[in-house]
Amino acid sequence: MTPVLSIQHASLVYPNGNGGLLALDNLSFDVAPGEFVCVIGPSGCGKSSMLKLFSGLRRPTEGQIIFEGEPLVHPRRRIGVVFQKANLMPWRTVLQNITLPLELERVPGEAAMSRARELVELVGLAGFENARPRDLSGGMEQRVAIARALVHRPDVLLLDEPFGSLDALTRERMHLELLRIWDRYRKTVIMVTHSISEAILLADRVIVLTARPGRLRADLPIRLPRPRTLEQVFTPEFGALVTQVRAAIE
Amino acid sequence: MAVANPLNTPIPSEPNFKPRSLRAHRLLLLPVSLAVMLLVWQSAIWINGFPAFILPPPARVWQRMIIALSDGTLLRHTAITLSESLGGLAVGLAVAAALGYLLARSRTVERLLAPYIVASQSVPVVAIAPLLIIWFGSGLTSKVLICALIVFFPVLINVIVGVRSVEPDLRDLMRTLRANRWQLFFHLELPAAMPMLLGGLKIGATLSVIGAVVGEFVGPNNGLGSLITAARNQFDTALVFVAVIALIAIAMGMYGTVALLEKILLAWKD
Repeated sequence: MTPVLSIQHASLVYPNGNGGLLALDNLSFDVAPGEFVCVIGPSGCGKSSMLKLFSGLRRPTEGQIIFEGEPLVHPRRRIGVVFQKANLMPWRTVLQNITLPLELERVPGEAAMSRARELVELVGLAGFENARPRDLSGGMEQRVAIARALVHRPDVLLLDEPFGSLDALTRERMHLELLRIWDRYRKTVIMVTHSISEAILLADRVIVLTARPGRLRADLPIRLPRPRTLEQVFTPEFGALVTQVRAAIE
Repeated sequence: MAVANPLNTPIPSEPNFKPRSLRAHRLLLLPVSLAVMLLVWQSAIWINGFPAFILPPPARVWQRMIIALSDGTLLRHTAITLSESLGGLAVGLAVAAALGYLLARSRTVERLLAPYIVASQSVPVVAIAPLLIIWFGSGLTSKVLICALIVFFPVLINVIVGVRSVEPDLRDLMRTLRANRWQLFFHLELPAAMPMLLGGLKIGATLSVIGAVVGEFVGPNNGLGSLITAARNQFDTALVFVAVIALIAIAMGMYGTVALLEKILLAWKD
């Protein structure tokens, strides 16, 4: 199968007046359509920088990103991004935040509204359509952000530690919700995380990066049966995978 | 199942829980403070025996106001000062907003213009006012320009701070959604900078009235500043007081309008 996204010999240097800081070094891997890939590594390994490259917000110093056979040179509507922070607009209601991408594409109001309502339902925020972001909890805000990233039906979803700031219980609920959403739409997902169990629970494949500069350390397939459940965390297979990923990180 | 706040519904903010009697007290605050002020004013005259041309008693000011109102002088001059202030505020706001946006978005423009803008602020408006009167006459144009000059700087600074305060992550979000220049402005920069813009407008609204009076002092023709000058020359101190009260009313009215606008436009904030 031809990959939907691939990163090819990409290096990224941040200028710092001192020869520059090498964040990513000759990183290459492919992502197949519909695949759920988690990228994990010690903090400061350039995971977020890598996601910036995949989103087209930044261009690699060397190498390139290929999206559907063509070099990616700027952000694309068909690549949706969920940031570390929810990044909601405080002056918009939940529903208005979700319809933002459609407004920018000039989708007529009626169609945008019905699509947004559908997603409010999907992420479990029915009844909060007219709430403002300041009245939401962290988990709810992040769900709005996910709904906003899905509303214009992108083919690829990039998630940058989207649950990093949530408490453990909310995090687990969000994992299940994300799995449910992925099951339904089968989008290509690249998710950056620093949680080993999160990566294994969600992904088809876990990619491990080395500490600065980020290089490809390991590319491990996760062959746990789907649909995944939280109970799988306690199976011996899961435990073996955790050991394997941990060994790769250290 | 009874769970406390099961839907994470917002908890009403504190003032809603204030007992009714407290709010009634707050309504009484203004009339009481006014009465105290009038009493202090009147007592100062009783104790010191000031003649009316130094400090007229409140009752005399009140009578003078009735006269000035009934013969139309007060309204005519007030209308002129108000239109100068409003015109100056509009011009100052428009120029400051446009320039502030450019300065906030472009370091080159900032480097080019910032020295001139800062230099312009080291010269008091009172010093430039005579020049403007010479160039544009003592009519509406020169007064509007003086108001605009005084309004310009605080609004400019607030617009720059407002536009710069837009979160970089939200800019990134707009880029991933392929927002064009206009959409970026309309959907992100304008609403994000609105609190600062309105804050600047509040300061500008009161400063604009000062600008109008400065202009009328330097180039007396019409308006409350000219009325004050004329009344002072005739030792009609009560009329000076009447004009000052009218100026306060204009400034409070303009400030109140911006405050109301703030309440409507920034309802999402509180």
